[in-house]
This record gives sequence, C-alpha cells and structure tokens, in this order.
Amino acid sequence: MSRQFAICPFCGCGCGMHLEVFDGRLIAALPSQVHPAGAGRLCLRGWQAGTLVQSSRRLLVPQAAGKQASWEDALRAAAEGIRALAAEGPQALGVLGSGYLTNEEASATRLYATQALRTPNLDNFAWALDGGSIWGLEQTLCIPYRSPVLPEIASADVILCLSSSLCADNPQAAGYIMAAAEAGATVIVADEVDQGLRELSTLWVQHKPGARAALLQVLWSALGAPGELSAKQRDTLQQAGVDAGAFAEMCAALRKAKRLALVFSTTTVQTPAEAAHIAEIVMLLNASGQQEAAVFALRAQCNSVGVNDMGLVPGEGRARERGLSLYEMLAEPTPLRALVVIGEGLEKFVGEQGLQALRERLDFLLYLGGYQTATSELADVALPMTTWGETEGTFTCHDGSIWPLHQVVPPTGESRYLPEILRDLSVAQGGPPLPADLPSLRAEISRQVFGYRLVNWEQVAAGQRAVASAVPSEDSAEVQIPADELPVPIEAGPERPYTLLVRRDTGSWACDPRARGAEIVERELAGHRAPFLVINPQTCRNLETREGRSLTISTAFGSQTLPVRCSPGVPPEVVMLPWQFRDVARALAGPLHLDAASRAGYHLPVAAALENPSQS
Amino acid sequence: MSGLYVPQIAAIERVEEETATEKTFTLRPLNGDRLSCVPGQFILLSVFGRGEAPFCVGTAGQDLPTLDITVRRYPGGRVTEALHSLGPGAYVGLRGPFGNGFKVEALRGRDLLFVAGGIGLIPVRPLIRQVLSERDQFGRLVLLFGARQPSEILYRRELDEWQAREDFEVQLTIDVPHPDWSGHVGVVTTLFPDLEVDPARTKAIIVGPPVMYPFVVAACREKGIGDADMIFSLERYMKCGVGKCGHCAMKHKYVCTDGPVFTYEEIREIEEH
Amino acid sequence: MPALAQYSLPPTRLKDLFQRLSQAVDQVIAPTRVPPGDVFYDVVQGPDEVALDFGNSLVSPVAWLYRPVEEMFRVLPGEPPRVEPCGEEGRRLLFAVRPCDLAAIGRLDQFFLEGDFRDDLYAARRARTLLVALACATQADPRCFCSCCETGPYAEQGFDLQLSLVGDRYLLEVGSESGAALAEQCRDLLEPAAEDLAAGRAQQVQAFYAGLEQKANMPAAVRRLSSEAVPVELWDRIASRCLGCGGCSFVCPVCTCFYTTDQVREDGSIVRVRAWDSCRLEGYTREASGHNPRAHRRQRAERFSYHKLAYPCIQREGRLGCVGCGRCVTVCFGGVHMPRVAQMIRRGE
Ligand SMILES: Cc1cc2nc3c(=O)[nH]c(=O)nc-3n(C[C@H](O)[C@H](O)[C@H](O)COP(=O)(O)OP(=O)(O)OC[C@H]3O[C@@H](n4cnc5c(N)ncnc54)[C@H](O)[C@@H]3O)c2cc1C
Ligand code: SF4
Ligand code: SF4
Ligand code: SF4
Ligand code: FES
Repeated sequence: MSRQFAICPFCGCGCGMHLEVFDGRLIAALPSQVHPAGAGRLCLRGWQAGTLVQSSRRLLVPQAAGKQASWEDALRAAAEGIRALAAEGPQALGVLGSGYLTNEEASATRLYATQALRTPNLDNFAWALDGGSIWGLEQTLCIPYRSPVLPEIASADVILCLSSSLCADNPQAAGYIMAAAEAGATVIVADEVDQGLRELSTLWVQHKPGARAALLQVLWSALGAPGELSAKQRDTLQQAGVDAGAFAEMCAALRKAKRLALVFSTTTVQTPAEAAHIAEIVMLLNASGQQEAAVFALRAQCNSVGVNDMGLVPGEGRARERGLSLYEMLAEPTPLRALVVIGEGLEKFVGEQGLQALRERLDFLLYLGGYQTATSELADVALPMTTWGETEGTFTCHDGSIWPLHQVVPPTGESRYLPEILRDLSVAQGGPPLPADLPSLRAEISRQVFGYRLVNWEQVAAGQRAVASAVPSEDSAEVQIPADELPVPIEAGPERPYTLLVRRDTGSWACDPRARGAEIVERELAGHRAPFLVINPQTCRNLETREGRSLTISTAFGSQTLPVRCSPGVPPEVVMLPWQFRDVARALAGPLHLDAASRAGYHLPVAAALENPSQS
Repeated sequence: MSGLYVPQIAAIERVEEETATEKTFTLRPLNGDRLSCVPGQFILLSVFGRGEAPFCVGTAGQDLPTLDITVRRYPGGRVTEALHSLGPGAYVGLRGPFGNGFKVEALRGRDLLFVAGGIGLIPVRPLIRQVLSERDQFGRLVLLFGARQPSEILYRRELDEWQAREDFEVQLTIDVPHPDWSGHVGVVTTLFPDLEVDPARTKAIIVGPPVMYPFVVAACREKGIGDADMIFSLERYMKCGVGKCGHCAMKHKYVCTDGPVFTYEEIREIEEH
Repeated sequence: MPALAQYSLPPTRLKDLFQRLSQAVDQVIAPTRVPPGDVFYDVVQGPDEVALDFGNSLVSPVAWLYRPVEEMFRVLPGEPPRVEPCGEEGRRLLFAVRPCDLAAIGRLDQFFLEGDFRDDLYAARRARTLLVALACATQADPRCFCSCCETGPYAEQGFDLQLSLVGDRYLLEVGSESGAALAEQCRDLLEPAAEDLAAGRAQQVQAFYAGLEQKANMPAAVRRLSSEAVPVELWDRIASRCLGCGGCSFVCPVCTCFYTTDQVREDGSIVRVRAWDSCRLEGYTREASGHNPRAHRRQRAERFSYHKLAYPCIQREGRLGCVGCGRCVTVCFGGVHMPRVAQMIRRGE
C-alpha cells in the first residue's frame, strides 16, 4: 500500500487529495484536510478520481492511419506528416495543449512548438474557456490576475455570485459560499437562469440572457455615484430585464459590505466586458479604503493557471498578433495545414461533426493524449501519453500555489511521458533534442518563466507550499475594452419568442472521456449524454409536452428536434442548451462569437421558436 | 469453492425467444449442483466482464438440475445486452436463489387474483404453475394480464393453455389499440369494473411496472380486498442480493432478503415519500 | 464489559511497547503523517512513523477492514471459466484506533457477520486483525461528539488493548483474550496499574464531556425521526444544501454501501471488485428501465438520516448508525452533516 499527494485533475478548484495504491493499482482518491482549496472536501468527481487511470477509455497503443502501430512506426509517420507540411512555413502548423497538462508537460509542449516546429500558433484549451473573463480582469486591473485562496470566500460578509451553476462547475467555491451564508453573509446571486444556487441566496437578481455586462455596468456606475439612478441607467436596467427593487437591494448590500467577494465561473462570465466591469467594481470599493473586495474567478481546468504561465499561448505573449489562438486555428476556413492536439479531444470545442469537417480541411492531424476520443479516432497519428497518476509533475492552482503530482502507478498500456514523446518527435523531424526529464524541464521553467524563478522544486515535490508570483504580461493596457457594452440585441419577436442560451449545465463533464471510466460518475451522468434542451416547466405545459418528449427548436441558423428537460430555474422565455453539445450549438446558435481582444469564443443568445412536433 | 459473492459457473443450455426484447434462458450449473427454488425467488446472474444482475427464477421446485430465467433486454444495459448475445454453451455465473418468494401455504384455500403487467408475469408464472399443479387446493383463479402491445405478450403458448382451462379465468388486455388485437384494450385496471370478487376469500398477487401499483391498489381496495391480502413482488436496484450492498433498502427492510415479496400492508410502512 | 486487566506504562516505554506489539503481527497500521501534513492510518515500519498528536483522521481506520475498493473474486477465462477467490493474507494490528471507530467496527461486525449471510471478505480480514485503541480523553477534535453517541472518549468494549494517557502515565487496558496474550508478551514493560489511574480515568471523562464543542442530542433526534414527525420541508432544506458528493458516506465509518463492477485485467482475467457507494447519489437507486424510486435529493437526504437514526434500523443493526466521529462535519460542502441534521430533526425546522 502506498499513498501520495495529488491535486484533483478535474475542475479549477484544485482540491488536494491523496491517492491510495494497493497491489500496484490506484484504488482511491481521498481528500486532504490540510490542503487549502478543499480542506477535506471533494466533490463527486474528486472522490471518484481514483478510478480514472484504469478507465476503459484509455488510449493504449499508438495508432497510425487508423491502425495500431509500433512506437517507432507511429513516431516516424508523425514526423513525416509534419515535416512535409512544415515546408509550407511555420504558419501552416498549430499546437493546442490541454489545461490538464502539468507545468512540465506544458513547458515541453511550448518548447516543441517554438523550437521544433518554430510556429507561433500555440494555444491552450483552458484559455479558450477562461480567456475572455481573465483577459478582461487583467486588462482592467492592469496586473496579471491571481485568485485569492478559495476559503477566503467564507469570510466575506457580502458575496455577489454571478454563476448560479457553481454547485456543479466549481463545487468547492459553492461550499464556501454556503459556509459564508451560514455565518450570516448576504449572498446575492445574479444570473440569466438559475442552476441551483438561487435557493441558497439571500437575494436573487435575474437578468436577460446576454445582459450581464449591462447589469454590471449600471451597478458599477451606481456604486460610484450614489443617489437616484439616471433615466439612462433605469432604461438600461429595464432592457436587461432586471427588477429595479432587486437592483436597489443589491446596491445597498454592496455599499454596506465590509468584505465583498465577487465570485464567478469563467464558463458563465465569458466576455472581457463583463469581467472588466467586475474588476471596476472591485477597484471602486477598494479605493474607498473602507471596504475590501476581491474577485474569485473560478477556472475551468485543473491547471488553467499553470499552462498559461508556462507560455502555452499564441506568439510570445497574448497580445502579439503573430500567433493564432485556438478558435482561430479551428476557424473555417482554417489557415492551418497540420495541427498537433495534446492532452484532450477537440470535439469539446467543435463537436464531433465540427471535428469531422475540420479533419477534412487539415492535411495532417496528430493527437497525443491519454484517452480515446473522437479526435484520437480521426487523427492521422495518435500517440498514447501517460496521464495523471502515472507522471510526476506540478500544477499551479488558481492562487498561484504550486503543488506536486506524483507517479503512483506504472504507465497504462504503451503510454509514454509526453516530454519524452515530444523530444523523440522533434529529433525524428530533424529538430533539436528537447529537454524531457523533470530537472531540465524545471530548470527551463525557472529560466523562462519569471514568476517561477524562485521556486524550490524539491520542496514542492516534498509537499511544501510554494507560490509562483504572478507572471507579468508585457502587453497590458494595449487593448481597449468597451466599457459600456449594452445588452446583446436578441431578435426575440413574435416569430421567435424564445431566447436560446448555450450554457454549461450540471452534466457538462459527462462529455469528458475520463469520467466515462468512473463507474459512479458515469452512473450519475447517465442522462446527460445525448443532446437535450432545458426549459421551464411552465413552457413545457404551454407546449403540451412533458419531460423526455421532444420539441422542435428553430433559430435563424437552423432547426433541430430534441428531447426536453424541465428546470424551474430557467425562465419561461428561455431555452437552455447544454454547452457540451457543440454540434447542436453550432447548428442552432451559429458559429462562436470570437472576441477580438481576448480571442476567446462564446455563443451569443439567439432568438428561437419552439414547436411541439406531435401537435403540428 | 464458496464465498458469499462468488458465483458458481453455469452453462446456458437453451435459449428461447419470447418476444423481440425477452428471451428465456435455461441454465445448468456445471458441477451438477441441484437447486431448490420457491416461486418469486431470484438469482443473481453474472456475465463475466459485464457484471451481475438479479432475475426471477421461472422454475420452482426441489432439486432442479436446471433453471429458467426470462430476461428483458435494455438497450445499453450491461448485463442484459450481453446476456442476450449469448447462446447455448456459453458460460455465466450464478448465485442464489435468494429472497423470500411467495408463501404458497398462505394462499391455500383462497381465491387468487393475479394481476400482472408486462414482465411482471415472469415471477408470477412459476407461482401459477405451482397453483395449477395443485389446483384443488385453491379456490377460484383469475389472471388479469396487461401488455403494451400484442407483440410484448410473454409466454403466449402457456397463456393459451391457461385460457383454455375451465378452472382458470384469464383475461388479457393491451394498453392501446393495435391492428393485430381483437381483445380488450386499456390498462390492466380497466379489467376491474367487470370483475366480481369475494373480498373475504381473495388474495391478490400483483406484479408489474412501478407505475401500475398505485392504480391496482386503488382498484383492489375498491373491491374490498384488504391491504394484507394484496401481495407484491418488488424490484429494486440490487448489487448483492444478500443484504449487504444497501441498494435495495427501503426504510429498515431490504428487498433482497426481506422480500422481494411483500404484502401491501408491509410496503405501506416502508414506502418513501 | 470491564477490562480484563489494567496496567500502567511510562510514556518513555511507549515505543518499546509498539515494537513488541509489532512483532506479534505481520503488519502494523498506525496513524502517520503524510505530506503535506494529513494523518492517515497506514502501514508503518517503526514507532517513529507513528503520529499520536491528532484529533482524528479524515479517513477512518475502518477502511482497513472494509476497503474503499476490494477484489471479490477473479475469473480465469477458459472452457469452462474458473473462479478463484481473492484476498490478502497476514495478521494485522490496527494501532491507536479511536473509540468512535471502534464502536463503528462493532456495528460493522454485527452488520457483516451476523444474520443470515456472513460477508466472508470482511470476516477474513476482521479475524486476523488486532485492535489497539487509543482513548481520546486528552485530545478531543472540535468536530467530535462521541459523548452524544455514547462511544467515547474511552472504549468500553471491542478492543484487544486500549491505551490512554492519564496524567503522566499510559493506562493499558486489556479487553480480550488476544489482548491478554499480547500484554503477556509485553509484561516486562508494564507495571501494575495503581488505583489512582482508574480514578484519573473517570475524572478525565468528566472534563472531556465538558470540553466538547460539538453537541447533538441524538436520542431526541431518534425519537422524533422514528415517530415520523419530521416535516417534509426539512428534507428539502437539507437537500438544497447537499451537492451530492457522497463524501458523508465515504468518510462515515458506519456506512457500508457498495457497488460492484467487473474489471478486465491486462492478462485477460476478470476481477469483480466492490467499491464504496453512497445513497446520496442519484444513480444509486436508478434502475435499468430509467425508473428511480429515490429520484429526488430530498428522498436521499431522508434515506441517509433514516438509516442512521430511525429506531427500526437501530433495532435491526444493533446500534445507532452514527458514532459521533465528526468526519462528515469536515467533508460536507453545505454543512448538512450529522450533528447539524440531528439538531434540525430534533427541532423540526
Ligand atoms: C428481484 C428482481 C427480480 C428481477 N427479475 C427480472 C426478471 O425476471 N426478468 C428481467 O428481465 N428483469 C428482472 N429484473 C430486472 C433486472 O434485474 C434488470 O433489468 C437488470 O438488472 C438490468 O441490468 P443491466 O446490467 O442490463 O442494466 P444496467 O443499467 O447496466 O444495470 C446495471 C446494474 O443495475 C442494477 N439494476 C438495474 N436495474 C435494476 C432493476 N430494475 N432491479 C434491480 N437491479 C437493477 C443491476 O444490479 C445491474 O447490475 C429483476 C430485478 C429484481 C430486483
Ligand atoms: S471541486 Fe473540482 S478540484 Fe475539487 S474535487 Fe471537485 S472537481 Fe476536483
Ligand atoms: S454520521 Fe458523521 S459523525 Fe456520525 S459516524 Fe458517520 S461520519 Fe461520523
Ligand atoms: S457530504 Fe454533504 S454535500 Fe456531500 S453528499 Fe453528504 S450531505 Fe451532500
Ligand atoms: S441487493 Fe444488496 S442489500 Fe439488497
């Protein structure tokens, strides 16, 4: 029996846990009480993390041209495929890495892109999820953003939470909000739909889909200039669908707050404009000297912070125009000829049909990952890499603290450590022998990444707390964020009276191939696999249907017939489509809206019509 | 070798297709073990590599060399899908029989009203067979059986035989009209209004999908049948069959060891809100 | 049951005692600190690895009798396939088990070993495990409420040996024949227990009760729940604060639910494993047809409390389903842990 510390590999909360190994098999993940993020708590995913490594969805052997291949052949095929296209110039190549990669793996990935492929087209999945809001915060605060440690949420006397879905997205944060409420804090939840947190709130402020920025902007200006709201402010609020009484109450609570925590998940607050207003509110309150305010932006992936620190970003810094971001690489038509995808499937962003289409546009697709995904199936070459539990490494948590991950079990199948694969690949392509062992990668990180210069890696590996100072970005203040972005026009009208909102739902990790190996997780998420719409029970009754039956939804982009589920948290005029069904989202909500500044993408709410097919 | 959770190996001897979704499997334990089962008991069947699931034993009696189970296939169901793909000669694992089964003694001398819906007929059939084999021990016998469609009616041949008997009143119904069906249409409770029962003499044996129970209970109560005279066989998610895994628990009772057969009086007490 | 014998041990000889006890078994499981500072009951090689300055570990040592994941049997493919049992060998000593956990083992013994079916996986492990308790009188964790469940700060039964620090000496109590044999092997380290040790023990209990921070009137909660006088809205309120992590069941030393699954191993053999499950999870009762008799969180919240606190369950399973270890206080996101829920039930609000 052995036991090793690790950070949970799922969400951005970064809970500490201990892995228990028995007879050479990882059998359980158990919470760490001394780790600050969880303090002994894990959500269902965390508790079941022990079953991940043995998942039946692991990629066990290299695949080339759809067939099993030896490592040697597969590496050769990969190198040839890439070398052939490298002749087109570095702009034809792109590299995407997951936010699940360790710092060391992310660093190796950057070295591969910059030194072996010499391409500036490099990005990470985490930024694609977090980017909009983190960018907005950083540009407004003019410093690189680090979240305070989550337990501090519990000590706030007023909490403004902008993501009602926290219970599922970032449960640890939801837990601290509940703890604060218990201690008497005022908890204000403001969101487009309620996904569970409303019943725990003191005040619920609803706004129209897409109107969060408008609400926050009025909130900021109202806090800055106490007194009656101007006619324009009232007008904006009304357009945003916000109840004036609730708004007044929210303002009053925020004015009285001694310690305000502004909490949101980056999967809800997605645009720089929204985040910029949040940052402005925080700065305003802090400037008074009487109040303390802090932003807790909850990241989507377990090493969201680390992969960005490691420079898995376009060009050499996000604002430089030279490299393509994830969404630009996936755009139609793609400027790329070859794409290297590391650590996670692309279907998460483009859906399976979208992936098919992308595959056809590309000449070469290389996948390196631990799990079988739609991407591994479509790739020209798929190389199995070791995953969490099978590798030594580190994660950087939302607050900048660095934590060790240990290898507790031998690699599954023929999987290999990512930096070693990349080194061999580089050599096979005729590139340099990149560093592939932990000491050299860490030396590389210390050299290249300013904030990690003083990190004592031995101490980190031994479980001692170390914090990487925030990495300064050279390009702050280059980009203007529209300060008063108004509600996105939604053409809801008599013809299309509903608003379709693409959002994460509680089963959003049903699509994570890792979760599919975990029996209990799979059992809990059994109903979240196939696309469905979430509507208000009243809407359901109005359309004379019931849960499980299908409705036809049509928008300016297309129409689909999908089964429905009811949730009282969804307003009667709103239809929610879970984010994970990307193909449906593309078909109904159109292509992603790509934010020019952050280069993050999100779907705008669109007008929709609903029809009961059995009635027509 | 023994052990509470360790199945014995059995070979599938025969497979019979009952409907598009149900098959009957005849299983023979390898070591020549003979099994004794009471109607209403269940076994836990393993398809190795897929898992284990409970199924009612379709054959009752002492020292049986083989036993039958009838299994509905659920799309995506780990065990049932795998089992349906197996043919004679394949090996499976077998534990049990478990559970209390129907107390035939308590039924002797009484009129019996069997109410079955869909695959609820599976556990009721061995009981009916036993009752028919000792026909003179029982009073009037009635079976009300409902299926969704004609194609979903199980044990057609046996039902025909039963219908042909003078001493057994068998009524079939299907839920919604169907071109191949000339009989009664409507859910099983729609057979009740025309039914005459002597409530003091009658015991009702009721097995069907969960949605059926409240309606049948109401209909039986209307006929004056007492709660202690309504007998159910319950299904709950089961992982062990021996009162350890906890899945089948209802209040302080375990369906696997205290049941699956309960009177309505007992169920009332352990029902959950 | 009064102790069979009592001895006194100077703290300086504790390590010797530990060494001596270790020689009697193949493996010692004792509380030990692992980086970054959590205490777990793990295999230890020597007394220096043992940590005794802790309230209670977040994972109960009961996990060594009822494993989070364990192999039930192995099937070797073939015509016909062969079934082989799984199991570990060797004698084990669980060192410094807290009295609440000992009480939990008592309930598990009843649940797994008594009645119509005996769980041979648990039985085999239990039969070759010796239990050395460590009383809590001098170090209550702020989350504990064993006094309300009558399980601590001393164990009155269920141990082979029990250690407790009384004043400046350890009191060593013998609770079983195996314990007596163990004590015999350590005779030269032990001294007869003086009268004042027993008196000191009694005094400590009083002081301990007075110092406990967490309180729960369990008998009142049991009465109220068993009389079905709990309003449904109360379960709704609890449910709204439950994030469905299952943690309360996983850390609870009394909880016994498991699921089973078949793993296909690299060598082609199939191993059926069982792993901890939780009635707080929605899929726990969902059937293949999609029907779920406990589909609502409210029902699951009620189920959890009912099984632990309702009189018919206590009667059936020998004792209250909570031993007051306080672990669920740590793991629950929404603060709807046992002491809190017991209070809510008692007040009906
Ligand atoms: C006492 C009893 C008798 C039964 N008798 C029959 C029968 O004679 N014929 C028949 O077709 N079906 C019967 N069932 C239902 C049958 O057990 C399920 O259809 C079967 O478990 C589905 O398994 P699966 O692996 O294909 O589905 P999955 O959804 O993959 O099920 C996984 C696990 O869920 C559990 N489970 C799922 N549904 C049920 C359920 N309804 N009841 C209990 N456990 C469930 C099983 O333990 C199974 O291992 C009976 C159930 C019980 C409790
Ligand atoms: S809250 Fe996030 S980090 Fe914590 S256990 Fe759950 S998924 Fe893992
Ligand atoms: S219910 Fe909570 S306090 Fe009681 S025994 Fe279980 S974990 Fe400990
Ligand atoms: S620990 Fe709390 S949140 Fe988790 S399942 Fe138990 S009651 Fe629910
Ligand atoms: S099936 Fe396991 S307790 Fe009943």
